[in-house]
Amino acid sequence: MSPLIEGFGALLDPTVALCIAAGAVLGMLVGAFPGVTATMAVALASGFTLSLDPIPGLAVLLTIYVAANFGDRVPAILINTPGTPASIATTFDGYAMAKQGRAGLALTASAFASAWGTLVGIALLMVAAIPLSQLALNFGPAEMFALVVFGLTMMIGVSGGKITKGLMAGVLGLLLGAVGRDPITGVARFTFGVPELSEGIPFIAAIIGLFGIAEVLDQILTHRRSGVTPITQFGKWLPTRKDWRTMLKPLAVGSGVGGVVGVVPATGGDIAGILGWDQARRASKTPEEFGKGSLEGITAADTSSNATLGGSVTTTLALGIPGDSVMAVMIGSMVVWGIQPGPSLFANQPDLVYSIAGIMLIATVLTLGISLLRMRGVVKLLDLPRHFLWAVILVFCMVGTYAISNNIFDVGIMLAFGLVGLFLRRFGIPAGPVVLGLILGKLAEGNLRRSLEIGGVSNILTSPLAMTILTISVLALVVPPLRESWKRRRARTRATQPDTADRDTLTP
Amino acid sequence: MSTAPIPGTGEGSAPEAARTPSRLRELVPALAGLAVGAAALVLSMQIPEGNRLTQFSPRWWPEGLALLLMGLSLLHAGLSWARPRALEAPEEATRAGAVRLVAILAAILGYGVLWYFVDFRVSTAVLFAGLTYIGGGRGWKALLIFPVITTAVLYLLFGVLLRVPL
Repeated sequence: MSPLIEGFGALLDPTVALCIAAGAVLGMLVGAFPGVTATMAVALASGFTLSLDPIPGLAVLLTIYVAANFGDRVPAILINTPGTPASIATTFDGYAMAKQGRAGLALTASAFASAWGTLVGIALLMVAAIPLSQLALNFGPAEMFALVVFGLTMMIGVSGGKITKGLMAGVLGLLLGAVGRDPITGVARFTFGVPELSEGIPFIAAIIGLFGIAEVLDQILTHRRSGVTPITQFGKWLPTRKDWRTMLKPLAVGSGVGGVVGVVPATGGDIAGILGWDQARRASKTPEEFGKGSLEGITAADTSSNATLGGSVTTTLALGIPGDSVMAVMIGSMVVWGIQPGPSLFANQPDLVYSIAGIMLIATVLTLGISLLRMRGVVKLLDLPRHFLWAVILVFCMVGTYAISNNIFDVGIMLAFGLVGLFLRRFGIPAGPVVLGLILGKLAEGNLRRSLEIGGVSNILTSPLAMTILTISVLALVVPPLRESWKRRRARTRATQPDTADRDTLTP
Repeated sequence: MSTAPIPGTGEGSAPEAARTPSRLRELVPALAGLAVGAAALVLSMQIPEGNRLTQFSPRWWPEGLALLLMGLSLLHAGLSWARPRALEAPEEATRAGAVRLVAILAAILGYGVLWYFVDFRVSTAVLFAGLTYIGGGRGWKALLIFPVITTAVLYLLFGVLLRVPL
């Protein structure tokens, strides 16, 4: 049977439909609550989806991933607070539109743009995933090691001005990944005689701690009563023909930017949204309206942000390198289900690409439908006191983690990682590289050692592909600070120029 | 072509106090990194060599990483001391927040003990009520109805549907 039919056929099970519906509602809700990110929601849901079969489990997690990227636009537009980091760029024009009495149009345009972006991403997944994995099948240990380094450095490189901290976090993650049995000799390392650690640190528990518990603890530590009141005047809802024409160019720009950013490992919708918004501004005939309630601005930002989803899934499944932080979490669940993301996954199970694409497609259509329902009820949710949210997240995290292996040890690990995550957050250290290092540590070590055993360092140095990937990795770390430094120097030069000009005019 | 700054990216938008560079603050992660690296190095040296099947000992990778972490921590300390950068600081913690945090952690520890002795449904409802109270919830709806409903949902999901032995 063709993988396409087999893949889509697997979705005919009513349980899958139920899981998609549950994921859509849950994803919209977590997206709409500022402070609950998609990463956190997927981490949280991992706890209770592990007992499901892989396809229904993936249906819940992927739908949360898709739906959270719709729901997070609501607070971004109505209270100028991104529901998740992916909707940062939505606030640029969304809130301005809402203040102008055009909240209804902003919400509808955002929903259509998000849906279009997600569909572009899904198309990319269906077209690119299998060829990319076939290409990656030729990778040897040297190339695989280079790929892991690439994933880590991309995540560190985009952590804005925190290169050394990002590197420290990545190395800490790799060290944590060394806990358990040595991947080649099987010797126990850092296990302290605890049998639960012989398989390594339970990474679902660690991820729930780093993303879920740490976020809540940070909110508890810093919470102040907010003075922001949600917008209640929505104005018209549906775009006119003229509005649709205005949206065409930013839809195209956003799709292009998001598609490219999505494929780059470890970069997510937040970066794509800002880049897409900026590129659409450059391409616009009315750039001066961007940031002041531009329909083009909100369309470009949301299209670009959601177009990353398919690319992220492609990179994650085809290469085994997480496309973004949500995918880093999802890899953890997949491994538990016996799905090992990486080049051989699609060679062995090509139908999985179509099952995943089908789940994302249904989730997009369903979530678009929910988004187009009038959002007045959501405004009430935005006023929900924080203590309810904190209590629910904390207890669900604990019980969800316990449910993974019915072991209280995992709950302890989760709480310990929650405190570690809080420390990282308070001192501006990104948690993403820690998770990536933890997940990819064994892969990095195993491949590096194998590569060195086979032919020494020259095995890596003589592989053109490995060297290209490693060079890009180094550039990803070196270029952003150099560019920053160049920008600062140029700004200083500009600042001193008027003085010089003044002096020149005074000189007789 | 517009060259206006991107809103919300921090260019000139954060309050001045939040952007003041602090050398001492940046030393904390560096010192923590050094401490973790040193501890990892000591522990790595105690890993048994085992029957060496290959030219690389099981210690090789963690020792290398520990040294790398220490090196990066020193580099971070040096860079942030020599050229303190005005990075966006995290939101400031409040005294009430710190008290809340300690109380919530204590409540979670207490829950661990209580769950051992009392039925899951009772201990979890008590925990929900405790967490809500510490978070600022008051009144019978917040302290009675909310804990009972959320515990029921939790038990239905995990205990009944997923058959987790709670």
